[in-house]
Amino acid sequence: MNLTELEILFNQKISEVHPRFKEENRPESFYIVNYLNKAIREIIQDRLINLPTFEQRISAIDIHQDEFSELIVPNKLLTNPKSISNYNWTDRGNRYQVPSDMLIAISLNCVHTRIEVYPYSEQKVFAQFVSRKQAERIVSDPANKSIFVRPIVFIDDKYYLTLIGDAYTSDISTPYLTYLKEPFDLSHEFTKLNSTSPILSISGIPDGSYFRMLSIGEYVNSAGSSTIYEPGDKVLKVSGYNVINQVDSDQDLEVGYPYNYTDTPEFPEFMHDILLEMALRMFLEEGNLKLVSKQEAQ
Amino acid sequence: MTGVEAKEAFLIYYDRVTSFSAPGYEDEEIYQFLSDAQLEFVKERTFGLNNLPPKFDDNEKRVADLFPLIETTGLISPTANTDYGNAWYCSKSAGGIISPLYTFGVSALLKRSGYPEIADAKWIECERIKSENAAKFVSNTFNKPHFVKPKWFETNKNYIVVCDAYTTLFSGLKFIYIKNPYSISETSLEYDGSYDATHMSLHSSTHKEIVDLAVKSALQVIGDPRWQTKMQQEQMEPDK
Repeated sequence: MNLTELEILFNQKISEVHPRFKEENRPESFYIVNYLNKAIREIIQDRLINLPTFEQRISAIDIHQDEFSELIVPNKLLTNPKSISNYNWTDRGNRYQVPSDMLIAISLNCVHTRIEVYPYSEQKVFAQFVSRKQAERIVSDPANKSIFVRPIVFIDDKYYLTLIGDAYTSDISTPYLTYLKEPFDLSHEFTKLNSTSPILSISGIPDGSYFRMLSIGEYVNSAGSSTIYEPGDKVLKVSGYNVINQVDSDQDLEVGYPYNYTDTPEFPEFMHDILLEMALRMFLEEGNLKLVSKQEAQ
Repeated sequence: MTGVEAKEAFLIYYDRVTSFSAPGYEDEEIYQFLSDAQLEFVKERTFGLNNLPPKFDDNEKRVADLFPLIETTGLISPTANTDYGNAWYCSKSAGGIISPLYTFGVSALLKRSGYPEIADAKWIECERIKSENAAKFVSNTFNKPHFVKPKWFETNKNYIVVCDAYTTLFSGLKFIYIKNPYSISETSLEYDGSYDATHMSLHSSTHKEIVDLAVKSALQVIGDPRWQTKMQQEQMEPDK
């Protein structure tokens, strides 16, 4: 169900609850959309966030894999490394900027080189998420030359995570993070543009704003160089470039904008009824209060 | 019954009820009572007594009584009204609309882009709303409402029809309404099916009831206690 279909059902159900909601107390779309967005956050909060430890969250993501699969972003290359040479870790670790839409980190792999126990060169390995407290015990210092075969990673703050190896790590780089992202907000502002021809005109998208690729296509990057974009990519609309070219002739071109919005909940279809029920419950709890206060006023 | 016959019936009934003891009325006053009673009759048949059921289309007799005044228009082209978002309006004095008194049916010829899609324009019956609730149905930045049946309300001069955000073309309106009956006067001729100032507007079968209503009003004006008694009796009778 897309947003309009959800809204139709929402209005239909509240009208069945009380005829006042059909006309006099009919909620505007803005409020319905807000309740639906609130319900999305509540579902994630209930099932994943309100768990005390990282391990429990990861376990919950595994359990609810079918429900949240659309929110999982696999293997996103982390960029903007920030040296932590001020510490004793030197080149054994780095801080990396986390994606701005990250909600829960799921796993991270990186290219790792070790000397001695057990030596290998440029192997792609999974890092282990630990808490900052655990990291303090693992990280080597002059008095403690610890051995920890897998690199460790912990969330530093809302912008950075730290990836470090043990005392025998000689190089660590190219981290790819798999994470659960924040869902896009539902909004009627979200507009899709599509074309069955090899060219899609995007002149309606304001210059300087971001749009989302919904199919593979060729556009330019911020410097004006031709770039292939994949579905889900965040793309800057560059002034003077108003056309996206088809890359795969089997795929119709499609983009959506603004980037931060969507018109369909990022949950599988079977979750939409649960989402709607939750939004209705929240609305009616407040709606009942409104009705009571009106009767009192009369 | 002609206008003059209605006046005579009024006098006979009035004199009989008051036993010739009440003050008389001038002819103009009697015609005014009759015209007012005729409007009261139309209102009661349309909305029910004291706005209680049965009302107009709940009862075939009511429809039959008002049949001479029921009018259905042909297609009337509306004008866009941006004050209410995706809305159109039509003047009550537009060509094809003749002196409307009570409007109870509006249909719109429209196309929709989706939910459901209507590619070829189709007639859709509209739903009446209160004018103060119109804002709930207006398409704007905060509201992208969905309702298949357009909503309509009236102002003193216009009919306004509000469509949802998915209505793409609105090209015609049709109305079903009750016309304003012509006043009863000395020159009113027997009802013959024509709607003009020289004929009674309603069928003869309704005239006795209109005279009754006129007499009741006349008694009310002079404060006659028999009016109260009659009112109480009528309230105990089943509705017509």
